[in-house]
Amino acid sequence: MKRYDCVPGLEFDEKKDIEMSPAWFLDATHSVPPWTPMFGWFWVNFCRHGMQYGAEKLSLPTVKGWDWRFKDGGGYLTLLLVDSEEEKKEREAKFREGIRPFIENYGEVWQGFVDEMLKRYENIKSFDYELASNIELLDKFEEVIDICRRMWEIHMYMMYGTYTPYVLFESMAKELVGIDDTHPTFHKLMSGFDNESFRVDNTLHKFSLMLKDMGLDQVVASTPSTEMIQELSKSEKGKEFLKKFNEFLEQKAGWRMERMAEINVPTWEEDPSPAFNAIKMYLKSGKDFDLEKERARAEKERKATEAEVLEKVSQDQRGWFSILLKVAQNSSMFSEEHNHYLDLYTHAMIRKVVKEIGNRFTKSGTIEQPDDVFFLIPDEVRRAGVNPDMFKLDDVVAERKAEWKSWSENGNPPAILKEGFTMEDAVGVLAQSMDPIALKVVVGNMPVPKPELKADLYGICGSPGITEGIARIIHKEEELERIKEGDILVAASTSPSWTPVFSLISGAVVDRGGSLSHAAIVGREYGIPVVINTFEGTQKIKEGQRIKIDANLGAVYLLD
Amino acid sequence: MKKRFILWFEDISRKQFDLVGGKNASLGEMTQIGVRVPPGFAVTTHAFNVFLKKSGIGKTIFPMLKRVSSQDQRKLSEVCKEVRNKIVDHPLVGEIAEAIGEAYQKLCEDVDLNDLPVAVRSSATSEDLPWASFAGLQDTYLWIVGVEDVITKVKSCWASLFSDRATSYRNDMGFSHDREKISVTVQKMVNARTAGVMFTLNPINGDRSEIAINASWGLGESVVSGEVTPDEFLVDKSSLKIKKKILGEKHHEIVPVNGGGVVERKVSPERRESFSITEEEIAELIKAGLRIEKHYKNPSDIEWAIDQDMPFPRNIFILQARPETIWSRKKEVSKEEKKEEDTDYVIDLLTRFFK
Repeated sequence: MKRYDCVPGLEFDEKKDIEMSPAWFLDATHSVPPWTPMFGWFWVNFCRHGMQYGAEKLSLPTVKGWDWRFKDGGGYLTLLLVDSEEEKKEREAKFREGIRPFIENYGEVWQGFVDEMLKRYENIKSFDYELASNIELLDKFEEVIDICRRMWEIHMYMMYGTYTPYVLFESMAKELVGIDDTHPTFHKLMSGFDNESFRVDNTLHKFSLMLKDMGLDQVVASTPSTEMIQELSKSEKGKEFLKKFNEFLEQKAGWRMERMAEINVPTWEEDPSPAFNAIKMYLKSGKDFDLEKERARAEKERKATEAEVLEKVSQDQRGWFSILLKVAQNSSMFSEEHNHYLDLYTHAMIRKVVKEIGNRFTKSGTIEQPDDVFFLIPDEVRRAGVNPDMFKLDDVVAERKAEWKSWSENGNPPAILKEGFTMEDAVGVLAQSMDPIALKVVVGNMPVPKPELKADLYGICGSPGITEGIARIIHKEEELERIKEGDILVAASTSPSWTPVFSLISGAVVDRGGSLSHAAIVGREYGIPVVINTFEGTQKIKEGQRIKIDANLGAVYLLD
Repeated sequence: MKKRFILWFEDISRKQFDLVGGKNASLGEMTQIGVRVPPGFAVTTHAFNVFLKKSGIGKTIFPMLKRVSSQDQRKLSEVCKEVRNKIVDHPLVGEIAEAIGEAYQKLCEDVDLNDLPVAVRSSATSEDLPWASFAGLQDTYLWIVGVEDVITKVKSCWASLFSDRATSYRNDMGFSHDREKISVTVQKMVNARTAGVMFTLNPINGDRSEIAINASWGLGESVVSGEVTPDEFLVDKSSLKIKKKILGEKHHEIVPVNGGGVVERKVSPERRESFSITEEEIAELIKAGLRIEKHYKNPSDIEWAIDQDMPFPRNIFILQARPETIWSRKKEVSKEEKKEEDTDYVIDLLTRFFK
């Protein structure tokens, strides 16, 4: 039988796709390291669908979303620009109505979607995986495919609707108040908002305090996270703690995963050691650290800054400016919360179903081991779904696995460009799209070297402040354990499950990310300086080196 | 504590509503929060009750009133008139007359003026009843001079409790006449050099960050009625700086005349071309305005006057203050509209942003 592509219909075609668009960008935030075929199939199909859906629902005047391709485990994207002026006009008229709910009832719109998704997830969570027949399990598989499709529709509709006002606000703030989104004042305006993601971190922090109260902190600190449950089960107090902890996982965070954009890693529900790692980090952060106080501080500071900024806006402009400010402020909340309710949760649900399929396929000899299922694609799952004992897919798995290994070893180029087309040209096209997601999440502001500062590295301000400390270069979550209080985190980018480390570090330097990237947002909430978009921080800075960062100026100094 | 016939504004608290009525209670309230109102005192409801009892008038009038039917309008009118005359004509009981006399004398001494002109007004205890508004309980006598006249007007205020309409209403509703209480306000007349109104919001657009003051020469009537173009001031509420001042035409003014009454006269060209209030005086007014707004927790509409016989700042008086219902309500509407307008503008900007 012929072996399929990983993402049939959307595999990158060197010739035709370059003809279609001269520049394809690697989604380095999500598809490095390369995706497994199963996950790549979900992401490329539905993130692509969601972006076009969102752009169309809102009728964005200049862009119809993005096109995506799968190439060697990487997601490559290009923008679908509207080129006729006439069409732009038509889209403009519809856009006026499309964007209105985001300005008038943001909270309601978002809550409605959250409720819709939670209901869908409940159907997946409450399913009896042990007793289900193969047909019923296959039904669930089709259901998570549909959930994923819907999740991306909501995701991108919300993201376009949220970030468009943010980008506009930034440009208005620059014009009226003279600050852009690399300015500390701007960041103060965007900090101190509550969100579900923060609440999870806050609960973890509270668990660390609870351990201290229960006298269990020493045990937890000295036990490897993987043996934590076993260790804690030995004492009554430990059992009491585990009971509460499991309740929390079940209700609030069991679907968290180390890597947000993959399904081949366990969720916290399956393996809570990352959650224990987080708690251990909070234990290390000392008694002065208080997440809630930090939040209250940020909120107070934000309110003062709001008043200060509004004062600078003339009386007759203040009305619309404060409306726009409020709408733009939704971005920080949404940015964190959507990870929690959309990406992470959906991916955990996909994993739940796919993992069970893997178990059954293994039992019936279709594949060799459960995790092999991630090297299949949905059509192959369907092929063997009802009668797994009748089909063997181990050869497909073997081939794909070998490929996948080579993808990881070789790595994917950051962009695939038509001959004669430069990176500057390509970024120019991105900017021309006015696509707020491209501008704020993927590309971000470009750092401008300021020779007068005599810094060793230049980035832009993600969160204001100045600090000095030992650099810790972190590539994977497991390495976070190396971090000690006061260190400066240096990484390519950060992911939601890294958040607790922000209670320990005194600052962060990241290679890529805009002002709405995870590191910037969390840095602001935890009140520590973050320099973003340094591009080569992880290469230029050495592990253990003493560095100083002045985030306000976007400068990084290597001290030894 | 023994009930008193007289209560000074500074001794009145909101709790004494039954004893002093709405107007006095509100003047007391202003005084308590440190807002300067023209000095004066309340003749309490207790004084009225004692008067009715000791004079024996109560015994005669209540049966008369009870018998009369509102169906017979003419008869009712006759009876009411008789009742009112009985009250006004009967000499005031000695101890009450003494108390009012002493209080008036003390008021004269306090402001350092012999024969101080005062306003005498009724202060109803039942203002929430619908008839209060049309029953003539707002009886007001201005520029009253001398103890004798003051006492007569106090009795006139008492008598107003038995106007035809009030009586007829009570009969219709089955309310008893002898339960009614009335208090009277006796207050220094402000011999206004300048008067006007102050809003603790911008009345043009409802902006709550601003205070608007209108001022003109003479008594406040001309400003309130809109007969003259007053001087206008707009003050920023947070910095207390005057943001805008516009000289008004103020071509005439209303001033009191000796022996009672007021007269309208032309304003001389020099006075027309100068502001009728100083910045120092504005600052003093604003202090009062902010206190009142804070107290009512609402933008307020305030009538004020500056007395020409007294030294600054004791001459800055608040005549009346109320939570601004008209403007505040209007403001809500316009705020809604403004918000819609602003939202549309944000959408405009968002759309333009893609160009």
